[in-house]
Amino acid sequence: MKKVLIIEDEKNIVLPLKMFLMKKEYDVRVSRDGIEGIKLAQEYMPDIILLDILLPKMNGYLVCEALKEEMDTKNIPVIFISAKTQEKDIKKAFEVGGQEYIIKPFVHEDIEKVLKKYFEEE
Amino acid sequence: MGKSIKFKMTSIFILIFIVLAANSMWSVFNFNKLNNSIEEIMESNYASVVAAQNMVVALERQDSAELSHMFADDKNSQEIFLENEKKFLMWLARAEDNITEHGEEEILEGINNLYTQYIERYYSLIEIQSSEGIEEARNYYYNDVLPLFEESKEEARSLQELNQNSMIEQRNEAQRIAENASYSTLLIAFLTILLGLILVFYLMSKIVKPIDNLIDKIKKISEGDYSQQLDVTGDDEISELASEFNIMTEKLKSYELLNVRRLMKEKKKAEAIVESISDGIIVTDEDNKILLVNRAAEKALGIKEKEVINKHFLEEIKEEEIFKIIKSMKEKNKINNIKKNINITLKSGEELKHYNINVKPIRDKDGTNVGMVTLMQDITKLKEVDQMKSDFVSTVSHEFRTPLTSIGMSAGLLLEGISGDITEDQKELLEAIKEDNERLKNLVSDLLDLSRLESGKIQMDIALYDIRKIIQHAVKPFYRQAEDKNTSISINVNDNVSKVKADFNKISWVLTNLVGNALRYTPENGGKIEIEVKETANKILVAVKDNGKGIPEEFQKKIFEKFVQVKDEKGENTGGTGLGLAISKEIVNAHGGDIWIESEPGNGSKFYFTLYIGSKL
Repeated sequence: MKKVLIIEDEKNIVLPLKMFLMKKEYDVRVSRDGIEGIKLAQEYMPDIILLDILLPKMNGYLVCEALKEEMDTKNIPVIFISAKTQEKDIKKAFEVGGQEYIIKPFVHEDIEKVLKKYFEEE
Repeated sequence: MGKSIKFKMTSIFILIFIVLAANSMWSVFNFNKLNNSIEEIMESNYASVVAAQNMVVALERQDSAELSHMFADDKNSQEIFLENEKKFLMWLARAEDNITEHGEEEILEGINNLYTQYIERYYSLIEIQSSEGIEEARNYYYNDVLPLFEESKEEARSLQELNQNSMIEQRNEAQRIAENASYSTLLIAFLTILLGLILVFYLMSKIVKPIDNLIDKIKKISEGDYSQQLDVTGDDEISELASEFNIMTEKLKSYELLNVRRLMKEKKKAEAIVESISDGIIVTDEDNKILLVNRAAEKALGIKEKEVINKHFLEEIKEEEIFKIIKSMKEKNKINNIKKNINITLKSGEELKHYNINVKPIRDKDGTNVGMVTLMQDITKLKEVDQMKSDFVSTVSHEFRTPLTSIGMSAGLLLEGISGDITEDQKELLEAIKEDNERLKNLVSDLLDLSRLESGKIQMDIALYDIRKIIQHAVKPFYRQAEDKNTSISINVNDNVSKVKADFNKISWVLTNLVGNALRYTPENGGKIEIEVKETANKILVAVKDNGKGIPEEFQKKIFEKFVQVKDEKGENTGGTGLGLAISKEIVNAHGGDIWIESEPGNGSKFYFTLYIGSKL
């Protein structure tokens, strides 16, 4: 069972997302802030991380950077999910090591497509 | 009032006329005198000369008659003698009637006495001949008759001579008169001319000199010196004119003073207005020298009006961008499509100020350019408001995204039955939620795009592209939808069409929008969408035509405005955001192109837009 970590503070996003992924038989953990997210990633060692940018305590870019600096977590693909649409924001996400960038609003199919891409490659 | 120039001129002319008339009369008098002297010769002397000659002739004939009586005893001789006696007496009488010369009377008296004796002796001769014989008669003739005859003849001749001499004398007199007349007439004529000239010069100086003076002063007045006064002397027309002139200059002076006051007032008013205007104003003349800078412009440019006045624009105001507009406005007559206003940013201390620069030419009555007014409208506030607006739109659209995600995803999951089975009614409701969620999503992203395009935040990524590739890329997603609606999409592009300067994604977006609209408005079954490309000298024209119901004229004008949507047959919105064409317009305009529509209700719509052709590489 593939493990997905969602680092997102919006509970109304987390709810359907978690529900959908669990129905698709993923193992899902959720973190509501950046610092807790990093901690959870190191403990849980997910196969993929869905990461929001605007987060309490630590923003998504810093979270991503921190994860990519650690030997254990640096190879976990980071998928940004954000409402930020400006080019510079998207560019920054890739600069800090993000693999994908899904702009909100998205639908569950968008998530499924990206996850499939990473898990089928293996 | 003594109109003395008129009087003087009249008198002078009358004087000249009198002199001329006198001269003429003098000439006439001289002609008459000449005529008289000739007449005199004819009357007095000529008649006497003729009479004397005839008297001599008559005497000689009488003498011949005597001789022929004596020697030939001619019977006729007596008759001839008597006849000639009569003639002699007649001519003598005529001569006596015409005594003109001094001594003439004595001569005639002598002739008369001599002739009386001659006649008496003739009769004595005849008597002697008949009584004493031819011999005695002959002696008598030679001693008494012949000397008397000779004497008479001599006297007659002296009469003739007297008169002839008189004639010569008279002729000489006439010649003298004629000569005198010529000289005197010439002299008078000369004097007349001289007098006339003197008078003319006098008049000229009397009239022209004051007029010259007047001209000088009027010239000075026309140059603006109203203090000119003329001397008023005498009471002729010139001095009348001079005093009227002086009155006029006085009036002009006071009028000017009044005008100057009024102008000063107006000027102060205008200056106060110009100074109080919050937009910067710079006035330059035709040589680009600064004529006026108001307070707002002083502040904006960091200059002082006093220091920059009459200096060249670039020398003091080192804003080449503004100067470029001023320069190009001057040449506007030739080229029409120049930018006449731009936005510039100036540093004012720490903060940045934004200005909209607008240049307007000042033209005189003939339309020639005499200067420029440069307006600097402070648009810093506008810019700030604009920034606030984009920030607002950006924030709002950002804030919308998260709820839109959860609503959309939740509805989607419910619809797919992931959280349990749903009824048909529930499905329908969820579909409505999902559809409107989709619309909201589009609206949010369109709003954001438009706001960025309007604020110029989105840079066009211009490169050279084959327009066919852009069209194909844009149309591709529609083929299935078109097939479902049984609508044909045809692309009609020439093979050797030039490449266009375009941002691939943005122009693709425009085409997607236009084709999507076309598809939305074409009827089910039999719909037709044609995309055509035409090439002109420097542009490419792209047309998207449909055979839908067309767009009413009142909509055509505002269809490119925000939130304008044409309702479908059922009077419902067709699912668009109302921003697609507004965005398309922004994109095309950012490419330097135009976009417009031609449509007739019932006959479909044709959307056109233009793009520049890239220079051939």
